[in-house]
Amino acid sequence: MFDVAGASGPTSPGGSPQDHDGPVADDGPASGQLDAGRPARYGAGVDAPTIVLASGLASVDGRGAAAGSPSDDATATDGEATAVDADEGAAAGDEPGGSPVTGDHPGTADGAGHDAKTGEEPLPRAAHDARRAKVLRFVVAPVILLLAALSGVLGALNATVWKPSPNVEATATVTGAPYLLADPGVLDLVSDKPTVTVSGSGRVCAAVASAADAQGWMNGAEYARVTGLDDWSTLSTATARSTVRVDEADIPKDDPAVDFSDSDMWRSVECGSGSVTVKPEVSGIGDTLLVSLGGSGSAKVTIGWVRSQVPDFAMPFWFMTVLLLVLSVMTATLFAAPPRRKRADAESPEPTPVRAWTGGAGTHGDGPDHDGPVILEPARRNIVEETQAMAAAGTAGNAAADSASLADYLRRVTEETDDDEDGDGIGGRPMTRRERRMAAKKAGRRAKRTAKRDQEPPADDAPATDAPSLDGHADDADAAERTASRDTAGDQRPTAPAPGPQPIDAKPERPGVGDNDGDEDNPFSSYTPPTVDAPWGLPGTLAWHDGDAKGNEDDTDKEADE
Amino acid sequence: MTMTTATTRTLKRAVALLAVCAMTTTLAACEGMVPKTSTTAKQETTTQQADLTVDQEAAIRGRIIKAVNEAGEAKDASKLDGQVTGPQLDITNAQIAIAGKTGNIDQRSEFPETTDQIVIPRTTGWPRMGLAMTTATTDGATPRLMAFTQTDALHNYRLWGSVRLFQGAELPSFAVPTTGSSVGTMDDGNLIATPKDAIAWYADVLKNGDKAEHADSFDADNDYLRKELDSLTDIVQKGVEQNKGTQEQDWTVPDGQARVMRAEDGSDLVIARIDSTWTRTAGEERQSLPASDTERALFGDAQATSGIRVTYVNLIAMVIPNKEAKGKKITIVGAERQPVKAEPVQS
Repeated sequence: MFDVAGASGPTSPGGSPQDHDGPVADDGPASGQLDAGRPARYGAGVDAPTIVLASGLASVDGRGAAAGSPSDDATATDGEATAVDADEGAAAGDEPGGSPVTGDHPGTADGAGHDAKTGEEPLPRAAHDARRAKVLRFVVAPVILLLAALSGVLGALNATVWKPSPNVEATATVTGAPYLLADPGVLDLVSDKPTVTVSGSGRVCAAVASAADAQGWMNGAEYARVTGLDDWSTLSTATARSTVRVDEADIPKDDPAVDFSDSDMWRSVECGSGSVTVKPEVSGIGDTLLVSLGGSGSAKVTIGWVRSQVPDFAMPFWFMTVLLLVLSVMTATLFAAPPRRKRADAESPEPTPVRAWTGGAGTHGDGPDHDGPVILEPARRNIVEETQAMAAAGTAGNAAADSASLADYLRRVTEETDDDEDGDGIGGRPMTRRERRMAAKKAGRRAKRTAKRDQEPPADDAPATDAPSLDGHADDADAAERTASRDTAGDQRPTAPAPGPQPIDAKPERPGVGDNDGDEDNPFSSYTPPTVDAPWGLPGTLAWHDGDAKGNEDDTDKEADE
Repeated sequence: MTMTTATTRTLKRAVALLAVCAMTTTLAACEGMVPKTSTTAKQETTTQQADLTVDQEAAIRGRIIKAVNEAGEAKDASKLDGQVTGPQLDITNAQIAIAGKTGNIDQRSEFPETTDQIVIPRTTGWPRMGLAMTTATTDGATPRLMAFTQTDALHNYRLWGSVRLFQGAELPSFAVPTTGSSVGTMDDGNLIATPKDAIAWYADVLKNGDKAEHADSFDADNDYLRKELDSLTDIVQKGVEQNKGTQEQDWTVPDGQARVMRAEDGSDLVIARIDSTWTRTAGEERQSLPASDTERALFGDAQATSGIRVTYVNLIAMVIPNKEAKGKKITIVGAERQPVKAEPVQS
């Protein structure tokens, strides 16, 4: 797609070339003077052209000079048109394969070769935004979506296959010590309900005791320490010697030491031949496990725990998945929308309308009853959607067929904007609310005068010239021609508020803005005098004056004004 | 196509995000961080805690009482091995020996299993000591203060001594069992008298009465042991005088036969052994015979002479107030006196 921005006369932004030979950017290879044999410069698949008239005027013919001969475009037409590369707006036509954002339709005028020296302000930002939006939507968003999928897969794996086991079992083998002592804090390292299994060669006893009692019992002997976990399956061990020792002289000969299993110091004790398994209850602070290996000096000790709370590694991935999904959606939508649109809307509630003709493919308000010109707003920077929609329509092959109506339409537009005898500012700038009110009053007075002069003319017989017309010039010399053009274009617009289709400047159905008349079936049920509002106020973006002749405004206007 | 700054930035961000996600995947399929033993747990092992749990104390006490009662019923002193030690071993052996002669076991040799209070030691070394105050039994026996001791880690707790608490005796408060009470020393200088000195002073009081040097340091009003001894001595003295004989009691304090437990208020509860001998002689070539069934049982078939010497094991429970407690005296809260030997002597 290529945006022919500001294709207008260089000296008269508010005016209009009357020959309608303005720049053309719509046809495919088969268009008029286009050298259909030359490939489009900016690649295949160029969208249907979109002509954005920065100042609301443009002259377009159906010759479609552009594609394949960018250098000729500016001269083959009236030479006033400005074709600006959507990328940087400067010398875009010199870069083969230039704007990737534009030019998706083969053989369509891409305008890349258009000279950017016409003085019209190009739209580099628009192109930049379009490229940015495309990258965000078709590159970044899918990447993020892919990451979200990856995160989801990892989350599922961590929740199932990779889920940490609640059973932890660590083992160690000790040799060369008659005792095995677990350091305080080892038994309840993972959970407070461990299972200890000690396998030796003789009678093995395991007792839970305080560290001091264990040290006292070992009586200066060497012992193996279990200091903790090396990893989830291996106990870390060390060797130490008891620091408490009873003098042998203090032990009477006839009073030997009690057996390990009979000591009063143990919180609990279990003995077995060859191996013993205990489930010590570690209640006291500093309690530990002392194992008597029966003098064999070698044993295999295993401590098992059942974790009550297994670490949930899936949750971060679930969270990340959701986050990435949201981010992906936002990237494709919110982040892709240029921020200037919002600023422009905020700063200029009624920006200058820019009109474009898309050959029947409408962006705003297009529907079965809306075959008229499609209005584009410069401030509305979401050009990608519009141009893509236009491209879709353009590829239908009706661009050439509508060239005549396009030219006619634009000519009529320029006439309307030139004939600004009401001073409503049409064609130059949007009317302010005050101007609209004044215009409404003026229209009302004029209607009264007309009514008084005609002595109550029947509404059904009201001549077209007396009714509020699109341009407010019923006596215009081109009225017949315009009527013919409208007929040709299928635009059966009445010139009076008579039954049937309402004037084009009547309020159309707009997404998000209702006419508040309760008649949803008739999009033109709310008639607005043409002088009240800009005839092509952007639906959905401009405040649509829906007031009556008395100047009363409905709530929609108030909201829009706010 | 010239890559715009925004596009470059966007791509960089995408790469950064990808890198973050890639690093996050390293967390996948692991068991989590291997836990480490906290230094707090290791440090707390050095802090003071009760040497025994309540359950352990109950098990130890039950085991000992059961053994002593069974030994008394069976009149078999061998059942006391490994269960009783110190002065209580001498006392119980004498009781069993007397019961073997008389056929009846002294009620004092039986211990109630229920307790009103237990005191669990809190120490990292040995010997250790525990106390238990039993309830009054239905047969009118007075509550007992039982002292258990563990001489070292290779031996179990044993019953070291038992005294009958005086009626109305007030014991100081001790720490709760889960916390444990400190074991005092014989040289505790924070008291109005060290335990060692107090024991010696009391032995002197028993010997010399109010004439003793430190007789004023003791609460004589609530010292039922002294009152009974004075009463008994007066009775014996009348008989000796009728036989133109003499009587003499000697009190000695053996070394290392005391246990000290520190109370919450800083006072010490001391249980000490004081041995005594009571020698009686008769004049005019008369024989000195045992004065009671107990002495007679101990005397046995020995040939009576003009003199008789009875050896007693006395267990004294005293509370030594803290030095800061002005005006308080050492209070004897319980005692036990058991003749362990009776033999004829030549005057």
